[in-house]
Amino acid sequence: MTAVLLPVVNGVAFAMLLFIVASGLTLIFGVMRVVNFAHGGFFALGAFLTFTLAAGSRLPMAEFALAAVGASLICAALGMVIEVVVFRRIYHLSHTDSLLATYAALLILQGSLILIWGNRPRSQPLPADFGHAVTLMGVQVASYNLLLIALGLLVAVFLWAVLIHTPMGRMVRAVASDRTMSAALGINVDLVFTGMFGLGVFLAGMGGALASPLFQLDSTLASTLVLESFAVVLVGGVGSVLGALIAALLLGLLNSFLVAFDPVLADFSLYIAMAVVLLLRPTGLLGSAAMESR
Amino acid sequence: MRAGILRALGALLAGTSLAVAACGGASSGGQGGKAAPPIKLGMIDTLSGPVAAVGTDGEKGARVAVDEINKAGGVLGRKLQLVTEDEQLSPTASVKAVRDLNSQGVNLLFGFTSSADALAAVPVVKELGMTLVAAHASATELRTTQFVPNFAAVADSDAQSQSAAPEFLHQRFPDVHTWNVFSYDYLTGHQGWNNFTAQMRILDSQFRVGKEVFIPQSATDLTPYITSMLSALPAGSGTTQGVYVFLYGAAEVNLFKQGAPYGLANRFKVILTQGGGYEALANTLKANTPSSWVGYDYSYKAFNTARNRQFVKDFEAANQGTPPDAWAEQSYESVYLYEAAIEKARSDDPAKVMGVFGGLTFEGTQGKVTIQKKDHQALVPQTFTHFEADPGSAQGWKESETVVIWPSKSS
Repeated sequence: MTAVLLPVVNGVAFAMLLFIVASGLTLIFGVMRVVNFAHGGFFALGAFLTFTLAAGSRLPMAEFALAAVGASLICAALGMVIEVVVFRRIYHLSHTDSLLATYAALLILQGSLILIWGNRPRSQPLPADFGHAVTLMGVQVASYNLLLIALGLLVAVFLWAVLIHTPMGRMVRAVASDRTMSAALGINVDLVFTGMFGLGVFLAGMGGALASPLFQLDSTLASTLVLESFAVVLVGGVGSVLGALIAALLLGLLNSFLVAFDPVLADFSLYIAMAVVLLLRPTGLLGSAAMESR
Repeated sequence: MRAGILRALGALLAGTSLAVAACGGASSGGQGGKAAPPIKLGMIDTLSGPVAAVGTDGEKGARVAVDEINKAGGVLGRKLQLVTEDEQLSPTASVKAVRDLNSQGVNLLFGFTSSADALAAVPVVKELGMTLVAAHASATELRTTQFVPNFAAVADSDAQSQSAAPEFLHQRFPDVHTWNVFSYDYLTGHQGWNNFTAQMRILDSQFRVGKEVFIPQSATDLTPYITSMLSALPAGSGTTQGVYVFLYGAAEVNLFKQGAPYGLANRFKVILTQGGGYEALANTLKANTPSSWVGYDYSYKAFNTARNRQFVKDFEAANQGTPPDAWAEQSYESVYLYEAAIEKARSDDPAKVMGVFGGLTFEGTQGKVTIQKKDHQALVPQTFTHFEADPGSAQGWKESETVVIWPSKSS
């Protein structure tokens, strides 16, 4: 039992962190049709901002949460400004051009991190209440991992509720489905785009904030989890939040079990999963149909 | 009249030309008055990107050496001049940098953060008749299968560092016989562990290999690897077993950050890390620094030689009181290696300089340095420094002890 439970908990915890980051990415691409390469930059920015707001010290959970939310809101605000000033001018361009533009934004963000925080790595400690492990069915589990699982599920429920059960969510799905018709019906498409980009970047920043106690903070953080996030988006189906959740769980659990039982294959778990799923379902597990079906 | 004016003008022109030639000859000193051109040393190191600290600290160390030597009159009466190029942690960029320096007439090179970059550069260095001193690159291949006479190394080789570690550990912790490992899952990671275990088997008849965990360089979530190690450890491992951590960069820090809730550091009697920077772990984790030994080839506090005292003093004066790290020291030593080689060869011609690499000796920060004849590897000691958290101090950590080991194996 222990041999199975430990990889499950490890895999799910990592999957939730991955989901939070990837959900923002899939929302942006699903609604705006923009592959946001700068997503990793906002992830890193969220982590560094949390470090600064927390002064790099071990805070009680409530204060750490405030720092994390504050960092995410700053990321969202910055993201919305960038969307209005830069990205709004590129929507009519080809995917290649918009890809280059978002990549340029990533490089600028990475350079800014070095300019502001320097080259020396930083470290944000775990919140004071979550620096230990708990015993769950005979297995030691880091309490912070349990927090990540809870928060990931909360984000999933929140996004599902907003997208499916609110007028705003219906507007977003309408724009994602057909922006021309939506505009004709009086929906302010520009506002929806800015809002969705802000939400997507908020999630990236939140992912970074939650990841800050787990990783060394340096400029390479922008590429941490980005490859996995793109894999989650592709495997889950572009634009599908539920698909992103399922894909994140799939990739997280696969990696965790392979590390435990066949470490040689663990490094390839991402690519194995992508290859198998995309061969069987090229649009991903839930594809683009997911946003229209509710 | 007109002819007279023309003759006068002609005489004036001729006289002016002669006067200018004479002044030029005087100011250049004729055969002895013209200033000798400087001897150019080319530093190729990582000056940008996530590990830019290696190259930028290295450049600071090199400049201190160049200033010291120039203040003392230079080499063969000529000043040294440092020319730098960015390695960019890219073999392609490194090779381009070698060719760029060659086209500028800079043929005495040193540096290289990455062994892969150094391995790419070495054939080009040989082709162009240049020389290369590895300041940081430690790969065994540079000293064995890929060795060329144009190459020398100040950086400790993997064999040196990984044979010194068991010697130190067995001496200091003779009752610890089981050793576990966290290492990168790539060639150097496996080679490093193999070197460690091979030397341990010679030293300790009771040596046993514990759990081996090799982590992919691309891995971000280390929790599965950490729990894999912890679930293999017996009860009481915190008083009987050790762990050898052969990681560097973010993974070294992430291992202890993600392992902290599980009390990873307390599950071993001894933790030895090698591969990362001397103070890198402590400087990043601060008050969360685990009690651990760090093996490295230089600690500025470990050597009480005249050269080291001068180096630390001059480095701190040039860098707002910051003491030098190993990267600075390695570049500093590289410059002094060239000073000794050029003096011995009585020339800065690379062909003559490389001819004196083997058997060369010079005063380094760690004492007298000898360059081996067989592979041009400098015989350097390893320092083992104990770090631990010190929450009461401003920096959050302290060094409690340093031990210097001269390894029995050099390559």
